[in-house]
Amino acid sequence: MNLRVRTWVYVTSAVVVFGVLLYASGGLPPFGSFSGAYTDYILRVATVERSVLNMPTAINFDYRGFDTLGEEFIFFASVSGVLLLFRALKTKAVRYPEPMESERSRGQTGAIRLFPVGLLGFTAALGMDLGAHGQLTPGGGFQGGAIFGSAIACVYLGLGLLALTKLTHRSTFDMLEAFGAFSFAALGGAALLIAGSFLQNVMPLGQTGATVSGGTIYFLSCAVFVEIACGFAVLMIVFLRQTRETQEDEG
Amino acid sequence: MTALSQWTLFFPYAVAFWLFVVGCFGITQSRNLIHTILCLTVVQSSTYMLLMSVDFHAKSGAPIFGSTNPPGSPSVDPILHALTLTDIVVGATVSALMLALTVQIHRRRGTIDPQRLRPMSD
Repeated sequence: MNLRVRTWVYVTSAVVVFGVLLYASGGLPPFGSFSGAYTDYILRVATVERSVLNMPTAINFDYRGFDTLGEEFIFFASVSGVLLLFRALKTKAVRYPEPMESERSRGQTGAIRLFPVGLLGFTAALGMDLGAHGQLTPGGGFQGGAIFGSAIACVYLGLGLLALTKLTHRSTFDMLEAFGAFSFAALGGAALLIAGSFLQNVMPLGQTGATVSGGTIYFLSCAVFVEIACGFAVLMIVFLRQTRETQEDEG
Repeated sequence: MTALSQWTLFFPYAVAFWLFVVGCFGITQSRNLIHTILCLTVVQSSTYMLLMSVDFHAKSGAPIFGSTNPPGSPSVDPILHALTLTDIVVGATVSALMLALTVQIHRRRGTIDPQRLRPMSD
């Protein structure tokens, strides 16, 4: 199919789909007036039942915890897929050469090299703060983990790839990521043995507003934090190493 | 209610559908697999837009309770917020998987133009 035919097929079908969707949106509740019975119920009971203040966290890690288990394994499978694809490449690529000390020769000044290092501490602290207080304030395992894992980019920006490969141990991140995914499922399984249903909140709920509160919600959030943070770190490391290998291949 | 103000009540939905359609347009016209992946991200963001438009509640706060909005006070729908936040993190990783596939394709076939890629013959 050439580009012209493709464009015409697209335009006709897009006009139809867009029209049908616009027509269908007339059946949706007008903007700002949706109200679901499930929502009202959760808003009323979640703080009383689970001692948490952040409702999305209560839903992710308690009321719909089983869905989060599924999401978590999509994440795990994607990271595994990336590792698998790059592992297949490594056999073809030239033997991973000793990276040159070229960061200094690129003409970066001290400020440019130091600023990301300072940012590293700030980003990691912000990620941990968000991850640890998910049941009280905006945040949680997913958001905190993504920020904490991204902090690894600061090492690359400030010190270069050589330092990144020396400072980080990728298989440690691999194992920690698998450990995070496993402990989510294991906490659910333990609840199944203790209370008779999967992912039931079996731990003492604690005081509403305390740092450790919400029973299993806190620990499930921590498990997700470990998994997401290490998953992002692994992705960052394998992609950045790939840039070096491609460069060496071309040169 | 005038026709104009009635129209604005459905405008956020129209934006979501527009993002979907325009992202698909990018995919059909793409000459670069990385561009294709970015277009898919645009399509994906239409789902965020739709979820966020459905969950908005006039005259209510964030679904995170504190001293100014005690537990039980009116709030936007937290269920759709929970859906969106997991969606964003998982979406980022799936993009990473597709980018890894792109690197692999470039190594094997020497091009990442989807219109020049042909089925494997060797």
